[in-house]
Amino acid sequence: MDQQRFLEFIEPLQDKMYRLSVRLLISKEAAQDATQEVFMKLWKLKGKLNSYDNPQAFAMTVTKNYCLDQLKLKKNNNLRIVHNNYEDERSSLQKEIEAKDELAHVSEIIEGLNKQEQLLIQLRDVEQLEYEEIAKIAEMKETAIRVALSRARKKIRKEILKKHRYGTV
Amino acid sequence: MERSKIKPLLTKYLEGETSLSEEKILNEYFASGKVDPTFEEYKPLFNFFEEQRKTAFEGEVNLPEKKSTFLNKKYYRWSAIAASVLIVCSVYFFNQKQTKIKSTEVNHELAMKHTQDLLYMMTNVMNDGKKQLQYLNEFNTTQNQIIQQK
Repeated sequence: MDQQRFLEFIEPLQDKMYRLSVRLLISKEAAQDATQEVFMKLWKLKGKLNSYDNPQAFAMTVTKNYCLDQLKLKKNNNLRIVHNNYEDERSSLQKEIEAKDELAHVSEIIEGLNKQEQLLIQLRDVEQLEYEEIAKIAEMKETAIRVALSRARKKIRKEILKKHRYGTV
Repeated sequence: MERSKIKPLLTKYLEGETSLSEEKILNEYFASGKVDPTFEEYKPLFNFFEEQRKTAFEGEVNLPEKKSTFLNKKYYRWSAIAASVLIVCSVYFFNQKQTKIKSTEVNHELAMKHTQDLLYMMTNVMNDGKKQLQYLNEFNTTQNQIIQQK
């Protein structure tokens, strides 16, 4: 795999890899560094990349493992709340603030989940990957993934409902 | 989208049993803005996922090693070529010098004779000069006479 092909391989993956890193590491800077590091790791493995039956899933696995390693090493001590621009041009300012608030709240809830649940939510609900692929990336069995994902989704829903009820009372 | 259709999908979703296409239906439903109040709590969730998908990697794909290995490979190749050219050239030069030395070796005896002749000539000239220096002894004799008178 030469440089050009490698860049073509990375192109559609880089956003997914970055989003997964943000999900696991929280800090955008750390996620950026992690993504860059994973690019380097993959580049070093470029000769072998095509021998994996799913190089894309492999790239995601490397990203996941790298981020989890980073967390283990506690290199990532600077926890920062992710800030995203939840902009909706049509809604009024009030609605916009509410929407932002709601999404920030969901973001907080997801941050409160354990890393495995975060990983699965990220891969399934954000990246919309097939269970087969998630099984490869997360190195888990499909049934275990479904169970964990179901638990995570229920937790998120429960937390959102809590907030809603507080809001209305 | 009808409420009756979404509700079972949501229950399936919570159980982790929805397929990707079913989840896409849910995504579209919650993105449409016409969400039934009974499903209100799912709205921020699906909107959040939708927003998350918009996050893009902003940095550039930096492969500093890519450049260096790329250069190194070329560098090695070129240095190999240069080295082999150097070897060929040096062998050529060396051979040339050796042949030159051989050619002087062939004339060596002649050169010896020439130098010997030259040295003989030198000694002859030297001897001639030395004979002429005999006059200098006259100074000595006169000097001795003077000293003796004193």
